[in-house]
Amino acid sequence: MTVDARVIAAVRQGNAEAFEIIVREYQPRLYRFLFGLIGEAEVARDLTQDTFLAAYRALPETRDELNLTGWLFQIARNNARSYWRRRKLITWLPFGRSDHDDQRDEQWEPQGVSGPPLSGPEELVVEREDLGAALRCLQRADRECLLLVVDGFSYSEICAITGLTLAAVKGRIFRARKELRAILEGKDLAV
Amino acid sequence: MTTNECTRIEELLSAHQDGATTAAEEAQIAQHLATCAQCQQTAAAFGQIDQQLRRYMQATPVPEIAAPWRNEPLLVPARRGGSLGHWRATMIGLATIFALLFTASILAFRPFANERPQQAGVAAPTFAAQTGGGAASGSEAGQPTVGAAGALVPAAPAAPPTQAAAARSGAVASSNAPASSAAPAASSIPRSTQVPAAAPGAARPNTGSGAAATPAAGSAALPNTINPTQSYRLAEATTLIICQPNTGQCTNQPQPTTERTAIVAILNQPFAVLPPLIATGNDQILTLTFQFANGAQQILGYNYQSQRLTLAEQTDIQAPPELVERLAPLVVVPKP
Repeated sequence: MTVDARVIAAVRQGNAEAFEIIVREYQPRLYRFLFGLIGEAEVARDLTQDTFLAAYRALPETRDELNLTGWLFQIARNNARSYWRRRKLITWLPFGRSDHDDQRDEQWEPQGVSGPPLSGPEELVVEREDLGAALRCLQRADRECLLLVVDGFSYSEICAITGLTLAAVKGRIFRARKELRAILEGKDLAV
Repeated sequence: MTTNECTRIEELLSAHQDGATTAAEEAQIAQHLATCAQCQQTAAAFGQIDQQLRRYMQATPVPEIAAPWRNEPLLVPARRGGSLGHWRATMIGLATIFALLFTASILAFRPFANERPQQAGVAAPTFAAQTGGGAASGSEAGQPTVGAAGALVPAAPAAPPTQAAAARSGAVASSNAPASSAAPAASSIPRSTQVPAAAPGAARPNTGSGAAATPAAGSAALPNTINPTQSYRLAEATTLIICQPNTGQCTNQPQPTTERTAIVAILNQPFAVLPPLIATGNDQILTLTFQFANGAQQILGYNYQSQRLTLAEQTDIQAPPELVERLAPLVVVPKP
């Protein structure tokens, strides 16, 4: 029996402290995934918290063969989508702009292409800002798939988390990489 | 190298980076990369992007989060059956819905139970005529009924609702079963399936359905006159037993043929149908049990105090003087 299985079994038997082990194990991965999706630290923190709260309430009712990692990321993804839907309701949108799950959250405005070349920590900061901004230029579903595969999930696991087909997952990851490369290299998007 | 081929190889390069390519695809990639500098650059760029993303993710500081679940008890279900638990809950819900629908349908049709004709061939021998009728005077299903003179009359065991309701209404029931030797019980005439169960008029239920308790309502659907001999084919009876069950003096001895023939002749005329009487609780009933060759029987109730003859439910007639005169010697007046 794996560590996850033992911890899950303990939680199902009413051991609330065992759930803290799950939190410590998965909090960094879930938070970074959500931060990559949303790009806002406060929101990502709240969504991480919501993810664990939902898992705490639902875990005793789950099936024995639960894939804990995929299940937690599925909850996190659903929370992110709920956040986007809520934000859609409160955000004024100008005419002619649609807002759906495949929307790009930002238009590309590179941080490091103007001015003198940087080096050292400053360069890393700019690279990070550029990468974060570039991520948010991707379609949301593409972004989800790319972040999941970079995190180490297989295509079949991504299918289970996102509900997409294998071909769709493969295509979205390819498109995300291609777009990201084009953005970071300052090329025009040909998608 | 064609652009279309490069596009196809680029997609394979992405899958290759994630270990999601087949051996054949790996061969295609290797063959293509050997000659295509553009796709070599794409492969390198894809690898670099993934490295940058991993660095980006790893460098993201993770804040402390609140733990609201610590304020909630961990709710552990009493019985865990995996997916079977969901099915069980679903089946219980469906069973509850069907039970409620079934109960509602039974309740919806119950007010008409007393008005349904007694089914032939069902052993529901009951002659409950003692008291006020309705649920208060009769027997419950499966329990014996105290007849007009106190004799125990077997009731149908676990009778269906309509039969039980008929028994509670104090009906003269029809049956193809042979007469009981203990008491005149169920009766059935040759066309008994068309004859509704009846109660002696003096023991008419005064509760229950409004049709039975309200003369006006009851008489509205009744014929004006009735010929008992013809309606019940009394002339075809082979035996007549006259008894007063609650006196304990019933001999169940058949009347002489001449006496039976005389009574049948007296009843062979049209009689005005009377509205039923409200039971007094002290009614004394004489039963006239006509038995037929096929084992069926028909019981008429004679209330010697009101001199009424009950033929069937809500079908009372005034006994003619000739019949009153003939039955008078058989009446046993209970001592006060």
